[in-house]
Amino acid sequence: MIEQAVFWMLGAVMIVGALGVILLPNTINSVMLLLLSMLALAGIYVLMGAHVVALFQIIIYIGAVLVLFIYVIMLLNLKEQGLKLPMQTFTYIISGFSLGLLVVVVWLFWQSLWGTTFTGGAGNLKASATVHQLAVDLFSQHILIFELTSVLLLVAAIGAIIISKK
Amino acid sequence: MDFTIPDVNFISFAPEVILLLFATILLFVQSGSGRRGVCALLAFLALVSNILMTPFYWGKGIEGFGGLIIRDNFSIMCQTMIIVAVILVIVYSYQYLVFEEKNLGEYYTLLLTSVVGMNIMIASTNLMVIFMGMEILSMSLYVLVAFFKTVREGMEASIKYFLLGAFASAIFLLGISFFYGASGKTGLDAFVMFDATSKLTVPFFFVGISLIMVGLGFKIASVPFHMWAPDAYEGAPTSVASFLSVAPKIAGMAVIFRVGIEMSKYFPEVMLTIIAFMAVTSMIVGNFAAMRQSGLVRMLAYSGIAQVGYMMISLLAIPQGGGSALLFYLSIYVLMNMGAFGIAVLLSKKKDKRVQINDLKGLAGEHPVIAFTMAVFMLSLAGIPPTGGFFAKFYVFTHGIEAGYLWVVIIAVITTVASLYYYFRVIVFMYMTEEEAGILPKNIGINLFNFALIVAALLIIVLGVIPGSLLELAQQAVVF
Repeated sequence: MIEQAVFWMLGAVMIVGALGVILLPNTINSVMLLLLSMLALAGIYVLMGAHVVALFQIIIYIGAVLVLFIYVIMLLNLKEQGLKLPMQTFTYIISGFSLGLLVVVVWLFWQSLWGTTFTGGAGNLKASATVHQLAVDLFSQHILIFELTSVLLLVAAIGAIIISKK
Repeated sequence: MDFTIPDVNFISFAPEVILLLFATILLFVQSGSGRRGVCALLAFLALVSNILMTPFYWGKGIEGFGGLIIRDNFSIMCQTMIIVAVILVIVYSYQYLVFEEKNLGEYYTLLLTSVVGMNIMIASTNLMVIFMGMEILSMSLYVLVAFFKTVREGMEASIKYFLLGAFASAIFLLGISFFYGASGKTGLDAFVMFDATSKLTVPFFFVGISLIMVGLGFKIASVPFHMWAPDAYEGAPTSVASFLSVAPKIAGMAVIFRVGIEMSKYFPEVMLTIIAFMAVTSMIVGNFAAMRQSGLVRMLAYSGIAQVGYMMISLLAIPQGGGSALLFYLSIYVLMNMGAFGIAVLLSKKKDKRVQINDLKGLAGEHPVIAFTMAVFMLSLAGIPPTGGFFAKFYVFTHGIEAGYLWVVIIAVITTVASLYYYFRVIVFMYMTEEEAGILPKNIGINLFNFALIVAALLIIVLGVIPGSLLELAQQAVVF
């Protein structure tokens, strides 16, 4: 019961935070609300028993990514940016199309989730995300993907050096 | 909880390891005069060693990393095509790129790492591995597009490509999450879990597949995800543009083919709707937009979009053996598109501004051999016998009709006729305009570059006259 209550509260905080990110004119406020939204997401991970993932969420997203966001905003010295879309017929067509897509996606989820007990797929994955289990998975089952990440990082590093070199 | 040592099977991953080894060595080649040859040779050696290894893998179906890497004949054939394309890129870069003699090693390193990325994409049926390959490929390409950062358009093109590409990657990843959420697996073998009757979680699955198709559609530059292509090709160094227009498309088509095999077993109508839509729009938009272009690279970019549309017809006929048609088309496409871009590389070397179709005026008078090869490439792209392009189109269309998609094939034939206009315009400019001082010097002589173009043109004609052996190879490759 208390889990339910916590889940709905966290969900509400996430949605409000996410809406604030796109609706507020001041970019710093947007980032702060993104932080709120991500904290709530970390809370939901904790609720699911995935403590390590929650920790990663806080360390990586809040600790690193958001700090970078703020850093860039301060670097660019962004002032209040009002949302000014050109109000042409094209804008309306695109907006209508996006709304239609959203309705279709929501309808699909509604169809698949409502009144069915979720047993297949991710539903039967029991959260056993201890550090030990993660390490075992990473270095046995996913060793290839783990190694490929290092190649990706190497390529990204070379690219960054070339692009920034005078 | 016990740690079991994974079944690595190093042999399955040896080609990529060799490529990465050479890529790392290239990083240590110091810049300076006379390094052009060293760098190009090292990259060439890496690729040739990969090609030499293919006979040992053919027909064995070697697997590694517990099934994450699968070297079946299909992946070997696609990888060989990519390596041929990259070898041509190296020839172009070596001979005709104005290099500031700086960052040469890095240029070839990035070429090789992008090949590694594509190899991994092709040789896996696990979506996570495919995603990693796609990211390695994309990262390399973003940098390669901006390699001449002194050119303003180069930077602009790269930013455009980067932003849209990052967006497409994110959508692809979201698709994988839905796929995983619905099935609990990231491998394409997850389809087995679903009966056509079970309604549970299937919508999730469809959302996942659609998003994955968006990500791949971006990589192969098919309509409606094609917007980046003309700008990126034009801003990139022309040799990189030639690479961009061929190699990622092969990798993307291979992944779509693998998804398509599974989809056509379990949910044929969903996949076919997506593919048919992308094919028809690509053919129409690509061909009619290409007509209005005056820049050679832009024209080739739109023609590439149209060619993707033709290739996708073969995906409609996967149960009828469309895979062999796809492989045949791709093999011819590598040669003809790389060749056509080669001419653009040749012209862009002599000209600071963008290469216009007008620049081809009177080419036949001064350089009959080069004009002849260009004519072969154009005829092949248009699908005129006796070139390989004709047989590739013919084979794809027959498969489309066999699968019952007559309307798609009719649209394809109409757009092919329309495409004759812009392909023939190039030939008319080369052969039927009055002689005027061309932008190329009188005497080019015989070099590696001309040699590569002539070989490509001859191969296209030979494959058009006797397509049997390549076709047989393609048919062997799609037997799983």
